[in-house]
Amino acid sequence: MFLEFDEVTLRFSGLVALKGVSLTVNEGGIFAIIGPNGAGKSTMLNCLSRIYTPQQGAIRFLGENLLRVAPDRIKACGIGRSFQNMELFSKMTVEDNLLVGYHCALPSNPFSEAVGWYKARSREREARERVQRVLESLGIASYSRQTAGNLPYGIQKKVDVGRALMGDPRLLLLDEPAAGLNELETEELGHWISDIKRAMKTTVVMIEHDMNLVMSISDRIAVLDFGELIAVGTPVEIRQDERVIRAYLGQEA
Amino acid sequence: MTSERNLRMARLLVVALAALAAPFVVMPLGSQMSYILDMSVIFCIVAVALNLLTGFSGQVSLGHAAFLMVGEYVSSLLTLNLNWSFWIALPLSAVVTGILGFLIGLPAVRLSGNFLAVATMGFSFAVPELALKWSGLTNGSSGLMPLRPALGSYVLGSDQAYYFLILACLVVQIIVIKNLLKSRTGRAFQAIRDSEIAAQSSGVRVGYNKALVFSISAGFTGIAGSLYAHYINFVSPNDFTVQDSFLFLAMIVVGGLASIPGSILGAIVINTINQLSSSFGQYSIILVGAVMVLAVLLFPKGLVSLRVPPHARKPRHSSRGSARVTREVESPDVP
Repeated sequence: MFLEFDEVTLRFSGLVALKGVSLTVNEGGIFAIIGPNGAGKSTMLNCLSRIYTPQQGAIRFLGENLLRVAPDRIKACGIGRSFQNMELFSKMTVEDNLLVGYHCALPSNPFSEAVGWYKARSREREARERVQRVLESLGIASYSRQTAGNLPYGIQKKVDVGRALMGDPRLLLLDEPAAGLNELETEELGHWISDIKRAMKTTVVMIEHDMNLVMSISDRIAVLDFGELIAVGTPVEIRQDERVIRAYLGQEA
Repeated sequence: MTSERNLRMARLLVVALAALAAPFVVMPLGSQMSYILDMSVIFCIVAVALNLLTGFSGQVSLGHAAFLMVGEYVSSLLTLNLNWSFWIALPLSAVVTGILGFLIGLPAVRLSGNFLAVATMGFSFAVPELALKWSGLTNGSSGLMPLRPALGSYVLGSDQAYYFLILACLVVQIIVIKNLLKSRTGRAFQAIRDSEIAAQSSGVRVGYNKALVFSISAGFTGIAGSLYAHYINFVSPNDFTVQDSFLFLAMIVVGGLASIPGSILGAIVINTINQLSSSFGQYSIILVGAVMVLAVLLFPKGLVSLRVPPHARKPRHSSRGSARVTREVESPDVP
């Protein structure tokens, strides 16, 4: 089993954000989570990256219960994520943003770094080469030395994903990757999410509101409403599901 | 690329020459100026250390006056009571202050911003009190009298000779901190400043790194304390108060946050004004305050923003960047 939510329940002092959500995601492919605002989509991702801890249930990734893993070990488990508001290291360069994404794969200690020890420097060089490769694959290599916070929104979104991709995660979590992008940029986004899946053999779990994007690139879709999972299936099944149409898609969808 | 490197080399050369010539330039101006110069460089060490913590890692500390005092006392007690050499006491004062900084940094893991400032301020209040009351060890208000260090048989008795000792410590500190900032650990510090949640999701142990940067910053401040003690040759419980902690913070804000040259500029400017105006007695603090307000109003990014930015010399990249930005700014109007 690649990724499994097992009866996950999360309450915020009275408000039930997730009600016994059970869900399995297979390796490979793009898995989308959709639903109205406040349905608990981001909460699911935040449980996965251990920002929230559910009161009940388990989340298993490759057989390991993630709820027993410290939040800063999630990346080392092979899970990278992007954020809805990007959360870039805005005063650092694009290159350094991605290097932080490679943090857990860079073995080093502060002492050898402080004296500029040769070994620390050679590892560093290798890491920078990796960063360049990821930046090139996203088409933003020319921004490498620029301060992330000064860049256009669309580029910042790519930097956020680039950071998540460092260290070759097996699972990539994208929180509303198309939010704020125009139609053209969204189309381009769809292409490179598919590329990531194919070229890097990374499984993608994404939250998205843009139905064109979701329906065109997803292999499977889960629909949340008021913290409950109301449907899981292929894009075709989801489009025809009565409950989904009532809760989210609306009549004309 | 080459012009940028040339500019950087030229600037480094000018700064190095100025630093080497400084004690001889101020020597004819009298012993007060030599004293101000030496003290400025000691405060440069404190400011660079504090800027690592506050500017680069986003944690405010009002406890650095206390770290200075700990460095003072550790070094004085080791040389006086145990008869250890200054050259062992100096690094040990860094180690002891660093360990203390780590312990102070541990609660800091859960605090941030104003709360952290208040918590560390308590430390600045507590240490002078402790030094006063623990008179069995510290000799209370009578203080301790550590000696000037010696290199073999040559005692660093003059302000000029001592200046080069302080300068050497500052240079080593800057090299170490620059190396750190370019590496994994330093990037983790900066990442925590910009987004704790993204740093954590990228695999950075936020708590450990916060305590670590606290420890490194405190350690260097301990070195400054040791240097101060053996320079003034007198250590007492009211050497550094919480007011000095605020002064250190002012140095890095006036000079430029997250900038090593900025820390140095700020330390020199604030210390010089503070010392020169001390003859005005109680009005001195008004003058210092006025300079701070003016500096912050006129140069919100610090005095360091006055220098020629090396990136301004890269027309290719900057023009492309700005072209993209304008398009982005216009786009909200289009729909």
